[in-house]
Amino acid sequence: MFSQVYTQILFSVLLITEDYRPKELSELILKKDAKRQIISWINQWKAGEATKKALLLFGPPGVGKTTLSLVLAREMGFPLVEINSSEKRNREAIDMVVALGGAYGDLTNIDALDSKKPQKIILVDEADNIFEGQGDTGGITALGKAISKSRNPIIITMNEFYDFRRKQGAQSIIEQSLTIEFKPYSRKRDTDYKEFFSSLRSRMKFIADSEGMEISDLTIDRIVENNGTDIRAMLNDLERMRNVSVKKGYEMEKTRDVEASAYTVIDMSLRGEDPAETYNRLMDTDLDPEDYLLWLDKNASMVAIEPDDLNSSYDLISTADGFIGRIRRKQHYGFMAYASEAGTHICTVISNPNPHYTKYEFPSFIIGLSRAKRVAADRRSLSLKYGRITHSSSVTASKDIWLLKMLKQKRRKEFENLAIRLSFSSGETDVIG
Amino acid sequence: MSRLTLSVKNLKEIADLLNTVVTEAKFKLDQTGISIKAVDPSHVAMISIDIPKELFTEYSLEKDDELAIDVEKLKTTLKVARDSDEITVKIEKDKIAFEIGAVIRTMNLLDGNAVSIPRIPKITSEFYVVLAKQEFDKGLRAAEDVSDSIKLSLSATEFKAKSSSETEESELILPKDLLKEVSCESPVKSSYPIEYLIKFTRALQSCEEFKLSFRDDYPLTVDFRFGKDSLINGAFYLAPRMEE
Repeated sequence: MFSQVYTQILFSVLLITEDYRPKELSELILKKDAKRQIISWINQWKAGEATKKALLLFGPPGVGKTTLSLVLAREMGFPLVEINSSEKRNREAIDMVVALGGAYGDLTNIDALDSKKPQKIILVDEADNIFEGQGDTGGITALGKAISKSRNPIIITMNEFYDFRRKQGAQSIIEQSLTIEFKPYSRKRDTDYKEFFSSLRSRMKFIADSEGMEISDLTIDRIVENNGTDIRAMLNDLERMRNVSVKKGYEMEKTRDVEASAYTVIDMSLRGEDPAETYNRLMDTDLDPEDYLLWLDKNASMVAIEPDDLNSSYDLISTADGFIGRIRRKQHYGFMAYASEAGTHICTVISNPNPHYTKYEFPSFIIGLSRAKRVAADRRSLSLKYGRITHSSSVTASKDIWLLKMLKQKRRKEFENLAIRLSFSSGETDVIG
Repeated sequence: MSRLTLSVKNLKEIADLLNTVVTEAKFKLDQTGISIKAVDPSHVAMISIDIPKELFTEYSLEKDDELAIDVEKLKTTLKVARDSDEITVKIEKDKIAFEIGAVIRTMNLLDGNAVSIPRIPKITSEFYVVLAKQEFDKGLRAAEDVSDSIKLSLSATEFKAKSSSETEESELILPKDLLKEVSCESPVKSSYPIEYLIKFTRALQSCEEFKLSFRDDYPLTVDFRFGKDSLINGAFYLAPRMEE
């Protein structure tokens, strides 16, 4: 509760210092062009000529994706319809809330019972969670369909867009969405980076003062530093300190590590300045040395654009790979550190890194591997299900999958009934062909 | 402590009706009786039920109250009771106890702040039809597999409920003589989610006829009554499909 209320206070205060205009609120936390895009998206909806039905916001936790949705709904005077976080975020929940809510009007919007214009905003918050769990429950596909039928604007928020993009059915959602990366500043060296953190510090101080908490500037700095860009986490820290009634002179320790994503570590390895720091960050991730090398192998050539740099980079990668090989053969895990160390030093051998922004990619080798695994698993579970109703073993049933394919092509309705009865996942449906 | 006694059959039906829309609901108790309002998470369906105190064999209220109740739990609790039984509900602080014959089932009330009471919009239409629930049910069941929405149309001479997909179609046509009452100056039509209508009519077991009011692309109101002397009355609302 505290964090939600204060996120809002934080925004409204940020806004007052800026230029006293509530509509400019997103300007501070968003790049200007992103904000402009969002406003024009919602205005298009209002005018009944939306080109993109959904708005997909992605970015690290706690930067205000959800808050933006709330503020947008409030400014437009629309009720916000949301998949409750306590509910299961599966296909059923999407059908019940997004598909239904999108296609029909809103009974709580008393002023706008006219059905021609949008009447509500639908929020699919933290969409990362919808698609987890065993196999694919068809949530993504269901969401894609719901968007295409919706007559109301939909906002989807998620943390990891690049993982999502590769999932089945995600393409349809992306095609129908205005996708915006939600981040508080564009680049680390830019001036807006400094601005962002200095306004954050003064707001934290303001909130602490309003709450009657005595907190030193050092502690405020620590709270801000420890949490990266995660405003919600900062407020949580602040709340925790309020609850334990801070003793005078207490200084918060620098403890919590911001979880470094693979992308950050790869960036540090290729463009960083301090291999030791990179190594520490690498240890915070769940990347094992083998995956780390695959990542470097995939992305090194995008940063090391000069032949000499590329050559030296791959020298290091192959050195590291040599260590990995030895670990495998001799089961001597002491070499592990050497493999990772070699990787973190790549930045020292790239003398002229690519001056342009590079988007790091997920290693294709891993994707291929997991895709093959997934298809095999889908085939197995499909055979089991089909075997169960035909009273045959999964091996026998797997030979008869062609029959399902025929059914799917010739008798769509019957196939769909069967699919519902056996609750085929979209992966299993793909195996059928 | 407040004590209320009523028929199990009535309470079961109330719980079923609420459950078509929500899993948790707030019951508002005052000297005239109980009223409940709820809206579904997608804001497409709403229900409002009024239970006057005359329905109860005992209605002794300590004070006006708002009780947030887990509707699904209430349904499970009522499973052990026979329709012909009576049930006594005792409310004390944050607890609620149900006495069904020799069985006493106690549960905690939900946090009142977590369950909100929606505002019921002023939905009015002079176009309405009163018909037998049974007739309407037939049309709904026939249309169930066809599409996820059903188009209702009303004229001075007939009421129609039609569902169609690319390959199938289902239509219920009720001419004036099969309708109890019609008021319609000019033809109107609008589409509504079929699943909700089916769930609703299934829950509304002991009601024989109801009144449907709607107009072009406008919310549907189903006014219904049931229980002893048709004392329980309520309305079920559905948002219209937003057509191009």
